[in-house]
Amino acid sequence: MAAGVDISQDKSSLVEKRLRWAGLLIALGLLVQLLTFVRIHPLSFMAFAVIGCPLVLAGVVLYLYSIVSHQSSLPETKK
Amino acid sequence: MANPILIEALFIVISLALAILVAVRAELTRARGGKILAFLALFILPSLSVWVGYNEHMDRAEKTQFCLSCHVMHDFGQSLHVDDPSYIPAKHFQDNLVPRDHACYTCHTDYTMFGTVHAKMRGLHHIYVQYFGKVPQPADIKLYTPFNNRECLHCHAGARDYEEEPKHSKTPDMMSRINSNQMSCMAKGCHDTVHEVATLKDATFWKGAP
Repeated sequence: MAAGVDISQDKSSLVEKRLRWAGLLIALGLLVQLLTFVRIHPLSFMAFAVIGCPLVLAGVVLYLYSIVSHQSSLPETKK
Repeated sequence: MANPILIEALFIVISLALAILVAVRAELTRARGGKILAFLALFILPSLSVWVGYNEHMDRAEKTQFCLSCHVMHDFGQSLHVDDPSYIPAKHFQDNLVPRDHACYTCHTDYTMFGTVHAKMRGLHHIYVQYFGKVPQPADIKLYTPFNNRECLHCHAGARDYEEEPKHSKTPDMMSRINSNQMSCMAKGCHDTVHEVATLKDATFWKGAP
């Protein structure tokens, strides 16, 4: 029983770790996006497309992966 | 009325703050409310923020300031200020025949179903050349294809000064040839003075617009 609780807590902390990373990546991406609004210049567009968007996308994908992997690791309910 | 860019920035700031909250307090997601918060902060709001940013940057890419921010475009920007109405871009810019803040895009987009997409793809190619390719001299820059009368007629078709201009009806079929793009508006002897960046050093400039 104790081992079961440990495994559950490990999985939960792994999910939270992934969520932290996802939040961090998204926050960085959005910060870059905000900074690109300062100037009207092709470099701003490049920074948005090459840095901001991929960071946000990576965060969103990591978030989706973390909830999907968490769901698949849960024990199946008895019918 | 509130500035749209401020509203967009505020939306992104809120998204940013919520993403940071989830990053710092991930244990909030153990509760049902925290899961909903994470879904909003890590999926819905970032996706909407990217869409908002994409739209903003697409709008900005149509601005004269954006086009002229590359060094190679400087002379083309100067040609908008030539004090000579025979220069077609200068005439359109100075007489407000095109919006001054969208002067380049108004004439250099395609007025077709996917014209905006084509214009944006060309713009992406220009950015690629600017930063990763060999930038040509201003005088060596040419259009990819001859300028289509469709772009001129988007505004001028049906206008009295276009329809009733005697020079447009020198021959019986001239108007139909112009309208069908068989005869270019910029044909020799017609509106053939365009940016002319190679000879700009001899021109005088209008000081009226920033």
